[in-house]
Amino acid sequence: MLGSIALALTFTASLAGMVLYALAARGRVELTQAARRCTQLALLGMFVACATLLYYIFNYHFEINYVYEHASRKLSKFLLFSTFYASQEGSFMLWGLWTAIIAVFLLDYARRQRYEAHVMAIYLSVLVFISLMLIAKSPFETIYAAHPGEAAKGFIPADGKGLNPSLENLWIVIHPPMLFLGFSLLAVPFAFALAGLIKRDYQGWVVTSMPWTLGAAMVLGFGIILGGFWAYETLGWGGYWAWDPVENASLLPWLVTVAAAHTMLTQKRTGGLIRTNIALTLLAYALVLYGSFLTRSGVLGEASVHSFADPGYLAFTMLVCALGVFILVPFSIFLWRWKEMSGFTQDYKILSRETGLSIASALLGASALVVFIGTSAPLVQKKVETDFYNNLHIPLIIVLLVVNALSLLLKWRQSSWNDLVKKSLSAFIATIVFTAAIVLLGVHDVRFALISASAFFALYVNVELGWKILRGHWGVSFDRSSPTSQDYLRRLGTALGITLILGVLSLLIGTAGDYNLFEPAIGQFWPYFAILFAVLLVVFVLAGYPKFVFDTKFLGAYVAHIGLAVFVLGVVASAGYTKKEIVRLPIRKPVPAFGGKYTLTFQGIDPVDTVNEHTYWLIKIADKNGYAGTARPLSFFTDFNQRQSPILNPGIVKYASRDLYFTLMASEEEGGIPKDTLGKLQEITALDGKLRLRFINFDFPQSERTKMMSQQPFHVTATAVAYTANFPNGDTLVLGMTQNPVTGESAKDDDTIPGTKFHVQLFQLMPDMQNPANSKVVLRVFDVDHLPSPPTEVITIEAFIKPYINLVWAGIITLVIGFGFSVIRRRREALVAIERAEQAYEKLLASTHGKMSPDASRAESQKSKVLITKKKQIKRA
Amino acid sequence: MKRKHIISLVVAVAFIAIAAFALVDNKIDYSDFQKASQSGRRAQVSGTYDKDKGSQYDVKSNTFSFFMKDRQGYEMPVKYVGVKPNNFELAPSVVCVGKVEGGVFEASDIQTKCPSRYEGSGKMNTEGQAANGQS
Repeated sequence: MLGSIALALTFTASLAGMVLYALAARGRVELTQAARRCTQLALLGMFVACATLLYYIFNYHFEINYVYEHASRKLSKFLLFSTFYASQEGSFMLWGLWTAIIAVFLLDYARRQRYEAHVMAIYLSVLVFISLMLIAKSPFETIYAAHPGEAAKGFIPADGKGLNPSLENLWIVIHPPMLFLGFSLLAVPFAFALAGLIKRDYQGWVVTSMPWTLGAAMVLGFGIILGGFWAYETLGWGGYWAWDPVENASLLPWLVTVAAAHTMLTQKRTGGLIRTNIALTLLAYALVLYGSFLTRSGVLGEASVHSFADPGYLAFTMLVCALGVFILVPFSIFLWRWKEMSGFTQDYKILSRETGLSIASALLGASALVVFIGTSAPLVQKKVETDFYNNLHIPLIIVLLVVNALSLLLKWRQSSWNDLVKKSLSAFIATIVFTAAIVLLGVHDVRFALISASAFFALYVNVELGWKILRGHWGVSFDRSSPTSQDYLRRLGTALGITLILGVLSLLIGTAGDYNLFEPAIGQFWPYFAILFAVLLVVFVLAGYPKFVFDTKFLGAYVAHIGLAVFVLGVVASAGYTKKEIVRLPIRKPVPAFGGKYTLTFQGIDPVDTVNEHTYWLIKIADKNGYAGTARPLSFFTDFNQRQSPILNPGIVKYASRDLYFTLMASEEEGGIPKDTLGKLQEITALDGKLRLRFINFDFPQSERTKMMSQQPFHVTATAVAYTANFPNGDTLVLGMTQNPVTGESAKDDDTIPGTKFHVQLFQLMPDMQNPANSKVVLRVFDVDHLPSPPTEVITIEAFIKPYINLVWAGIITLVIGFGFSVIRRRREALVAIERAEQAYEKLLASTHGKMSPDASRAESQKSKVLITKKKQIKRA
Repeated sequence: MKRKHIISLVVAVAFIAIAAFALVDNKIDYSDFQKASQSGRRAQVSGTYDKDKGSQYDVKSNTFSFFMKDRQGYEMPVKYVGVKPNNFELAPSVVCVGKVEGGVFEASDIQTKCPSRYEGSGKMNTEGQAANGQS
């Protein structure tokens, strides 16, 4: 009840805010204050709605359909929290929450940038859409409303269905929130671009939007790689990226946003590419919505493992409408203004950094196009193989990396070939040496060699240039100004924040998100984090905030590109040179693997959690230096599939230069009494020829079949004839077996062949319903006096060596940090730009005092117009 | 300026042509067993696992095999190199990508749809209901 009211509040407030801001943008400036209140109310509504849903989840209110469908009493606390956004409705809640939180920050930033009314009116329209979706498909629907006829009013189920087992991992606590934060952030550049278009401020919006564009790329990129890392650590197929439509849906807007960031940089320098930048920025958000449409509307159906099913006619229609509105309206305005959008352009030569940036954007755009085509193929009943993406990206990434390196060596506006050759000579030589080295080391695939060479080239140039900036200009000094009590509070917060982020991330990586290991790990490692916290606190309080002397300002691009190059090297090494082997490990018996490089020993199992039957399979690894770690692949059972088959997670042991990755495939008993499979009227000769056994038929009467259908233990018999020395003409045996279809356990009747100590057991029935003549049985025959040695447990595993996989993660983290540096730089620039414009305006005002209209609101809108012109002039100067 | 435009146009057209080739080369049709048998091309077939005939995993060759009935009701043995996918028995539908060779569908990829996840209006789990009854 409260939840639905809160959602209605968010919808009403964001709609009112949107309308008020739109009016304010048309000159009714006095409405701005009311619009701000509406924005805050919308956030309040989202907060209350989310808190209500969390309350329902944590208190097991299974009468709420969403809670019933996704939560369960067996789930650990962390996972219970994540059921909040485990599915369609809840993930819209998360999206809405982030959008509303960002709205409040954006409001303040846009106000200072003189963009408030336009930007907020557009931005709030996104929140209107999300809250409308939430009202149409509410997470607060009761179970009796969702299943009319099946559940009576007031019915409360005893337990919920629980989380999808593949989601039962702690990475779910941070991956989806990060991804949705990225999606929400992308609405900001979209709003700025559209506002700039409407205001005819074709230049200023770029400066204003730049930090948000980069910030969105940073967060979304981080969110995407977290998903990849999670897949790698839990799914067991050994990879982190499968070009699945849902993954692609998050990659598409990222590619387009990064492309936009590059051309926006060009526009800041030259004033050109106005249309490109607006189009790319509008497109990036359109792709967010397109991705949501693909994954949430059910159109992907069978194309993706994790797409949502058909959400119902109403929600489908709304998604289509939203997609239509958010694409058609902005692009109509865009086309309307097409002619107008050519301004003063500073020309540049072909051999210039501007050209390089444009090529980079074009390549990123081409990559986005490839991903778009592949992802959209299911719409026309097609699907593409992953090779489609891989093969097309090979030339793209090679050219991208080479262009990246060369363009950084070029000057803005124009360069000379001589200069370029001179500057790139050392990088060229180094790359040739590197390539020769890796070819000698065994990289014989031309594609891999070329990608590695281009990545190394880019790495070399970026490190060289980055180091030039850093060299001799780095160090740490401390902010010595006398702090106020508020400063102390902030320092406490910073120390706590750093400790928590580092702590949570390192524990998650260390435990692979396995919640069985997470809590013990907290118990084990908290003192270290406490020490870190204490040290940070002491430093901050005694010495003040550290101020890094090196200017992170100009490093952003280099750091990001270094990250990209390192990432590509990691991808080539781990994807191209993974070694795979299927190994059978009898218990406690060392088995050599990978040509004797490692020795693996299956040491037994470690049942950690008896409720959910979580079991680790301990595999000891030894290399030539002795013990080298223990891998713990995990198997567990879940009610989600009615405990029919175990869910398997891989076991990974990380080293600096490689991962050893083990996936469980089968566990069985070997040796012991042999089993024989027999068709009708077939014979076996067993026990050194002392026994000949012929299977005649089996008997599975209707009464027993009925028991099997109703999940009760049932009894079957098989008739066989045994020929022995005492009965050369055969002795007919009736072998019986009782099977429990729920547990799969069976009790075998033991039949002794008269006159011998030979035993025969019916072990398993393999009926063929369509062709009863093909039915088979499995029999076991043994001699009590000569029992074979007891059976041993044998597991079969798929073992991988993944070389340099850590470069993949390290590369992306570096890329994200690079984006972070750039965000800081561009934010400062945007603030400085508006400050200078304000000063220029004050001067102008002083000189033309009295000439302005006395009407306050008119003056205000006049002021922002003048400011924009000023900003342009200053930038150009 | 003109030359710049021409070069970029040529490159763009060339890339789109390559992409189109790659698309034709790598596309997989949504199909059924009969069509897939006739064409011999790689196809995606969805259907249901025939529980009566059971499924088998052979450790030595690391192959998982079972019988699948496609949407047209045509049944065919399916062979897949790898272990039995999670949720296999309960999946209301199974999606296989591969091609028909010698009367057997050699799957390179098997996906199982989860029985209830991501289905807003899925059937209720009656077991959960029975556990508590009216309250």
